[in-house]
Amino acid sequence: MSTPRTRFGRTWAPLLVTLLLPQLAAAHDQIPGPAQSHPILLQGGDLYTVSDGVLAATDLLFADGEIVAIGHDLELPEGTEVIDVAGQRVYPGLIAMGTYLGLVEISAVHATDDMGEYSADLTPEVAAHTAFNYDSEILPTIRNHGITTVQVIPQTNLIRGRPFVTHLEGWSTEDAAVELFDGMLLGWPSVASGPDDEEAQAERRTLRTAFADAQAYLAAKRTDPDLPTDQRWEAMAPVLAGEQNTYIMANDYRQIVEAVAFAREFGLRMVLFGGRDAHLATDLLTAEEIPVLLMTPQSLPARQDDDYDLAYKTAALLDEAGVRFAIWGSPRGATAHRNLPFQAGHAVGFGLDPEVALRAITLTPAEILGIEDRQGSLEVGKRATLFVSGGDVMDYSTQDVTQVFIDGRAVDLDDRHREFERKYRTKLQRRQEATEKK
Amino acid sequence: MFQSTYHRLIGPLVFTSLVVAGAATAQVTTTPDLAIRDKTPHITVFSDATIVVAPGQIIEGGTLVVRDGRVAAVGTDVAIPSDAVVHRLEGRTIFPAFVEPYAEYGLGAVGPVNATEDRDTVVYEGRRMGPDAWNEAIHSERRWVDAFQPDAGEAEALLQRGVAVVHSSKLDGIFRGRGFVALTADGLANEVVLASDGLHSASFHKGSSQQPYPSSLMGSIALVRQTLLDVSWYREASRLGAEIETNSSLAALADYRGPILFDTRDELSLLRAGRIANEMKVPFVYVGSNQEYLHLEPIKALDPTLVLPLGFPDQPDVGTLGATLDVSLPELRHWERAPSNPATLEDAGITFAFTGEKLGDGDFLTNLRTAVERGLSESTALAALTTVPARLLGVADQVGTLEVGRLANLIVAEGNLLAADEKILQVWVRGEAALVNAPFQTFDPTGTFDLTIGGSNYQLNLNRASGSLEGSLSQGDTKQILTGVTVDESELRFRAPWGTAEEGGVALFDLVQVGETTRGTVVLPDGSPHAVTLIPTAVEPAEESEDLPAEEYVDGDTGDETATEFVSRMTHPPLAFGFETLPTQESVLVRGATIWTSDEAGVLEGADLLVENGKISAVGVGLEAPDGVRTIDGSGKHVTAGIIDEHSHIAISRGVNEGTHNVTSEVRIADVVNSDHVGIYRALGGGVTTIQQLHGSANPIGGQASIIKLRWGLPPEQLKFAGVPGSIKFALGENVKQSNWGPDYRVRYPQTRMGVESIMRDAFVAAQEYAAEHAAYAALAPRLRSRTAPPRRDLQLEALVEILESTRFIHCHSYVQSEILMLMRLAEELGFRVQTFTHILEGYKVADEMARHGAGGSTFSDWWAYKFEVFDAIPQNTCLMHDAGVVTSVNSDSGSLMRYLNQEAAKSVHYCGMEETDALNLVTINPARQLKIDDRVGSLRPGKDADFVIWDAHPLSVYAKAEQTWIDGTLYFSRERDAELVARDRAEKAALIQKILADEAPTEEAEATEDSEDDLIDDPAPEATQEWNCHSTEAH
Repeated sequence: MSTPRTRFGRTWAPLLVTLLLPQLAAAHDQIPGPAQSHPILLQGGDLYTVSDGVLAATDLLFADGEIVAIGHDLELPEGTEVIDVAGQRVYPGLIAMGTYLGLVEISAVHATDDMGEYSADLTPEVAAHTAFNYDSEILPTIRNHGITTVQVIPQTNLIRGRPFVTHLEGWSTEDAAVELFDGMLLGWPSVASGPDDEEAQAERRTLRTAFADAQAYLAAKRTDPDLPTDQRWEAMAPVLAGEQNTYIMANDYRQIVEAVAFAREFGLRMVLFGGRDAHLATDLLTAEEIPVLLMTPQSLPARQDDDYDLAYKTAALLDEAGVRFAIWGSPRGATAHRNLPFQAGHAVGFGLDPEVALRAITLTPAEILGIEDRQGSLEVGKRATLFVSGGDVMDYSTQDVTQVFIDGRAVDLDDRHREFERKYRTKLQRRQEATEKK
Repeated sequence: MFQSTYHRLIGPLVFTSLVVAGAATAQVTTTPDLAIRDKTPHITVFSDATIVVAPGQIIEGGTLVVRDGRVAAVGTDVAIPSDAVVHRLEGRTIFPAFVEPYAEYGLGAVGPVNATEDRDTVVYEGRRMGPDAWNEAIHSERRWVDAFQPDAGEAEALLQRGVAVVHSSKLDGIFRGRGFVALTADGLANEVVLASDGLHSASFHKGSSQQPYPSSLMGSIALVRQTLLDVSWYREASRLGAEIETNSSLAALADYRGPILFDTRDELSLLRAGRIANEMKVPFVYVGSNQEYLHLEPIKALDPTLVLPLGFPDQPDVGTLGATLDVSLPELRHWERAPSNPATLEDAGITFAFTGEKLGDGDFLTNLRTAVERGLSESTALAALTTVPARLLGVADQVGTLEVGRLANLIVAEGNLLAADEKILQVWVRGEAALVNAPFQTFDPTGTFDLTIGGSNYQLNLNRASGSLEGSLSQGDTKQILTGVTVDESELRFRAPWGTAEEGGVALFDLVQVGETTRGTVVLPDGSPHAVTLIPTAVEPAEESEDLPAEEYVDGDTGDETATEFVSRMTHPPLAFGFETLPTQESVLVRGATIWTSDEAGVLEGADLLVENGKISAVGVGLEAPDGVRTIDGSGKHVTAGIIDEHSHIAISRGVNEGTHNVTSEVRIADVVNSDHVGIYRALGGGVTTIQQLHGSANPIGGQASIIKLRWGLPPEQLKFAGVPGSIKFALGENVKQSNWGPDYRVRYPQTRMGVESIMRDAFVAAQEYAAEHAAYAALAPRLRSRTAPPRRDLQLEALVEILESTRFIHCHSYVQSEILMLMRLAEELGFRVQTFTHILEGYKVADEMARHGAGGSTFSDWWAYKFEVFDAIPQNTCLMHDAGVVTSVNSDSGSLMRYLNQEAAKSVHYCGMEETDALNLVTINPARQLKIDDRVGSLRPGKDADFVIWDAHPLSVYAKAEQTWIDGTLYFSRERDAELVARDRAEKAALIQKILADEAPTEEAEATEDSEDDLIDDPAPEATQEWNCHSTEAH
């Protein structure tokens, strides 16, 4: 059984006010932008295409939410709005994988936490899109860092459930979701306490049994469709058929090896999540062509004897060995994903090629998620999901995201933090004025 | 019966006994004898033996006379009394039996000191029994002899390792009560107690106490310190007849003058205990860990007496790739080196006794021999088992040697059991055999013999080639190997294959030595018995060896003459990346760099930095290089002051939160600084040079903070930032009102922000009253004062008095505006100011009020939304506070984040356009000002400490790496050296793993002892990576 890909975001709303300078918007809540009403030319920017290097001082034209031309002296359709971005950079929208965004607002407040269906170890049936909050105050703080699209994952025990992929702006999944069902996420049992750890052994058996049961169920169901339905095993059909990804969280070398063998045994299309020790298993990962969502570069080394900069340089080590990887912005929580480009930058400081680093937060995650036909690079025919930055997006003082477009829609870049900043700067100014009067 | 009291003398501890020497007659008892009285004369003679009378005093072919339980005579020319039972012990060795100073013996019936109760909610009060101490972990009033019941099973375990005298108390809790000294002989407690009042013992571990306090090591230390102060006060106040409570726990210690046996689980805690002993002028004897070699010099400086466990770490598992990933370099090193610890301590001139406590899976005697093999002299080893513990326990005039008049506690061994695998045959306690493993002499049947069976001649060969008796039976060229060979005092039994395969079987031999002849019967496979007699063969083959000669006990023998060769390195600290030789201060000139001064000079391009004698000499363009100065090419590099973290929890042992009580100003992070923490090295790799180690945020008034420089490789005391004013952690909001602690935590005051204010106010009022009381006492006329009991010292209130007097400064965890304003108001009312609000995520809302008050603000760069009180946190916080005139910094509260605080500072440029120099100041001069150390560090200004970082790029860039980190003009980290250290450590680890794999010969594993106390043997490594943050409430 496979789930057909669903494409949202193609309905065009009537022309409303375009907020091209959204920072001036007075609204304290950010309203999703209207569908692109007229062609837009980003003129003279340096295009960080990812797929075709950097095109200095080049124009990019998009219309109806799609990139229609890239080059110089482009022929402009009537009504094209020209935005001068000379001296600025244009990037494809960044893609953050492995996030809990929209599933949690304040982690310590239980009522706002929909991250994990902890009532059971095996919850393949749960699907992240069913709980996503598009009004989360956190989302605007992420997307104004150029992150347009995220993978949202459930957080439970062994078989964790089904992630989904969404843009960070929209009214609901109806217009913002990119993929409602994005494979299956597993957490590989721990090995840290040694092979004798009974609980971990039991968990391995549980996982194996579940996959075998699901296979048996699906085979039986094919011969006899009238058999009673098991929601859990139905949910596993696309990954057992190898049509969708199986994301497996595994950091320790032993976990990685076991997970790869397991994926091979059940014919899974595996993506390794975490991969802290992936640099020890590069041969295996390249031979099996398994891509990695690599543990946040700013993580602490796991072992006390590890090189102090091991996590900083793991990305560079994987790249040298030919392993394909995306970079994980944060293994926990939701708010820290805005640091995704800086995490990539940190890996560059420790030897990663800057182009590979950029690819690891754009095109590679798009390929892993199977949406590279739509985004991940600046190419004609791809969606106009992109942003403009005053400078290098991977460094703190140069990142200056001035405009973000998702499917050609202009995104309001304001957020809760900027609102508070304005409010209390006003307080400060008034106090200072009052003091001066005295 | 035998009671000792202790008198502390100047110099070594010496105890005298009330027992009159020479009064060694049979014990007088009160217990009625209900059977026929036993009036056998108890006179025993051991002759022809090697007698080790005392360490270093050996008599070959000696005779020992025991009369009524005591040594009556010992020597080579000793008359053997006619009424004696004589044991001839040719080839055997007699040792004085061992004295075990640290055990739980005969207290099995008592159960845990504090019963375990299931509780629905946390209970902060301790359970009381009589007028005892408030804390369940303190039961110094217990006199363990009162609960003593001799236990044959426990006694046998002790006797098997040669122990005749044991000092016993419950090894449970912080002040554990007073032990007693007993013989391991059978008998009533009345008969075997040697000293009813032994030593008090103590530790930093609360044992069976279910009371929450203390939950951390620093809490335990504070409790020990306060208790010892209370003891002095109780003694003085009682003497002066002051109206004070009755307290049996304090009274027991107030009357005590002996040393306290203080159990330490690692060498750093030994040093911690040592500091308390010196501070409180109370003598401690330290129960060690065999990790002392890791920090030998400061331990030596304590001039300690140790009780050393004869337990060594198990061989780490390195049998699989996965296992080698899990094992750390310090674990591997400790496995290799721990057995050499006793020899190292001997070489350092440190006195120690051995204990069998904390043996782990090891065997006492095997470990003893290992220690000797590793260079411990046999005389010191024997002293550590006999005379040293006897002296320690005040029973040296009775036990520990075999001198005349001492109790006849002795071990008869096959040979020198200190050096070789020679078995203990028997242990005698007070002149009676208490343990008989084997008779003194078995008949020695080895040799070659002729025998005749049914008219045929055979030859029998018996030997001990591999230790146990084995042999063969031959006829012509046919040779059968014997099985089941056993021998005792006079009988020899074995089996031999007999006859052909078709009609053969097994012949059973059963022989007995009668006089000089060995004869007996063989039963052949057909059931027929035949008499046999062994006739020694005329010529013994040369290769037939006698019983292996017993190892000689030689005084001063240093065991293995060749020094042990180690694969592992000794480094400072004893972790990966440690220095073999500590780096030294250098004079350096960094030339042509971009220098960020964090000072009025701003950023200087193409400038030089001159460092001499640990201080900055000059900063400027075109400086002259004085003679002998090392020049570093700084072109393309950036130089900044060392990064300072206002809020860190790294390098702290066992708990950053004494999160139990609402006020814990008595606890001190400075007591638990852990120099052996890899987080220090990792932080140096990010350019960090100075950190404030803060207590956690689990209570409104937390513990005292510590400020250290990250001088990797130096011991804890040398990390401390000298001359810095005291600081302390306070906390507000959700953590202290236990909002997110779960349903069990609803009973502690406060549960609201309102309550937080009230408890703080109450504590400060108490401190004011306390100060007044002490001031009044100090103001008394001297004559009156000498007759007046001093008020009790309270270390908790003293810290608060220091705050009121502005000699200690508050760093307060805080988030929301209401509570920030509350604390500033309270402080102003009480006449001091809040030094720094740390975390202060809503500082931007009250920035102008903070500026007016004079409080600094130290914030997270961009954390928010992890709990309700931080939902309004914004990353522009720094800019708003800075613009309002608040001294603003960015902190880490994280061993991870502190490694890139330069980037955390850069976020203020990113989010709110802060000037770059101001942004860098967020992690240099501003935190220095908050810590009141800005006259010493935080900027590159002549005269300040030479703490600086050389970066390979703009220091606020994500791409920048700290290439070199200098503290006091000493290079503690460089990328270049890091690469060398990584290669060195990798090779060392591989070599150690190979050594283990090579050691893993297919010999049988030593059997585990039944009572494995693995958990008491500390792996030296686990704390090295322990990660804490404010919210960590677990301790051990």
